[in-house]
Amino acid sequence: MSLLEIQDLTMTFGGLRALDQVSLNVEEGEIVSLIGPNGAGKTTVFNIISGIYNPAAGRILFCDRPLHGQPMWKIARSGIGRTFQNIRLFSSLTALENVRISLTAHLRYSVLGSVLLLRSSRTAEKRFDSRAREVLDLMGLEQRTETVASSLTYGQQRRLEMARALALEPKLLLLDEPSAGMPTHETLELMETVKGFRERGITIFLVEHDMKMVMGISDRVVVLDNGIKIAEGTPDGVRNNPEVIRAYLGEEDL
Amino acid sequence: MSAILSRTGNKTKTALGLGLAAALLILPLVIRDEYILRICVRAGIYVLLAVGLNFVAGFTGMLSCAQAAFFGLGAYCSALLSLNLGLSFWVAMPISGLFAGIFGFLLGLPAIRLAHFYLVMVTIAFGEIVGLVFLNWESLTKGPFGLPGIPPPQIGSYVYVDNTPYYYTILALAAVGVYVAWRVTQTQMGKLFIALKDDQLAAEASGVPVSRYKITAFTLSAVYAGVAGSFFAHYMTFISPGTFSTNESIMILAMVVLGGMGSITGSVISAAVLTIIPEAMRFIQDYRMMFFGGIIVAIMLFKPEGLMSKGRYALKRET
Repeated sequence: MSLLEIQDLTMTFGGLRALDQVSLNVEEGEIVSLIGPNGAGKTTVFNIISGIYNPAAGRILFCDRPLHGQPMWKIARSGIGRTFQNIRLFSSLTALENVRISLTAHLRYSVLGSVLLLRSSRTAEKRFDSRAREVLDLMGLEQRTETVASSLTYGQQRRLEMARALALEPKLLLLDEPSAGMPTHETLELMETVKGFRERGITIFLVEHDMKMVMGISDRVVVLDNGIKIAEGTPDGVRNNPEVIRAYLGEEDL
Repeated sequence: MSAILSRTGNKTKTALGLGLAAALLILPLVIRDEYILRICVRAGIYVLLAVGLNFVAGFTGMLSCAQAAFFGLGAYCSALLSLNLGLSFWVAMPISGLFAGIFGFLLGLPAIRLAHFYLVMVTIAFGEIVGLVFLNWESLTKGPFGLPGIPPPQIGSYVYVDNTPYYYTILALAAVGVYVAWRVTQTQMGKLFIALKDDQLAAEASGVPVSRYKITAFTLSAVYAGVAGSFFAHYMTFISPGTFSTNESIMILAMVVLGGMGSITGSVISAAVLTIIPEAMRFIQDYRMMFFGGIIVAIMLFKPEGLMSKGRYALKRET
């Protein structure tokens, strides 16, 4: 059984066929990269998995259960965390509070309790804080807990977004171009971080443009072009696939 | 250094707060003027309305123009319970809060799917419908003639007569309202409200059932308005549909915006100030509303984020 099974996924925007019968699997414990030229439909795949779009056809199974028709927050709670291509943080909340938001799913918390100011809600608040601190530690943001998200550096914001996704305790983490806009040394750090996620038992599904990163950490690579899956295999296999070279990497050999 | 600064800042704040509380407590003993006390009571009612609306407009960023409708629902509910069933104010008030809260919940159901102008339209429509029901359900509400003879509150054999007992009652209600609102901002729910305003999609993707929290905000804000309405009915002893108009809703929304979205202190101050200014300017007679409008325009020009905004919940200005 695969952790994530995408079957014949088709998505249209008006007349545009953004995805055409795309099928792929992600196995538990894998790092899988989804690559392709701009507009190939990579982010669309992510947006369908996390429930932002409803596909025109096809289905997605997560832990053998269909995701179709579930609201985004339920999909997230069922164990799929994600980051966004253009970082989406809660910009007026602090780093700690950003992470706390994802913890809503995991810490017992009653709305009424907090309105009535019950003691149970106070202890819940404390648990929220200490759990959020742990996650921030993990992402190297322990010095920034009280900083408002919009005042963090770009790299810190990326890490905070991952921390927020991590706090969901996901089985599957969708990372949408995590290295975008990063200098090389930060990308190398990022690769280590992502490998660290896998060691914690999190499966990684990655959309990425940086080929060093893709080739360096992926177990498998899936290539999309114009909404069609044109190749799938090991990084080396994909690198040498003539179709991929023609469609994506250009005519020259790498 | 900054830690020390903020600590002394907190001390000053505590001192200011205590001073203000003391001043508010002894005010009726010092000022025996019924007219001034009356203005203070009205200010207290608006504080409840504005702090309540802050949950919807301030924290979660949904512009609602229905607060006066919930105010009216609370007022009519309380008045009818007293007139028809003989319930005392103390029983009718919490029931009216819940009653308005139910309508807040019901309005929340469609409203959460809408944003910006559409939400404004729906809340205005809701307010108009509620107003029309007050006006036309004559067998129950006596329509445009209103409901006279609502009994004033009573404690034991003591019946409220002058403004002083009303003053202390609304002071207590407003204090509880402000305290609860402040507590909510300190809890997970408060953070969730702000997260919804900052980025709804990211909140959903972080496992937050956004609609549930939006509806909660609507319900909470309606409960505040319902309690304020109940108090209003038993204070005026007469209510009629005209009081609970969309104009009134916009006024309350203006209080929240001018105070600074999401700032409870701001809502309190601007509710008080906007109640007092039109009264204080009565000497210029017909020109007073013009001045009043001018002040609002000036605040929006020079302090668009509102009087008390710390920037944190502020409306983002288009650049």
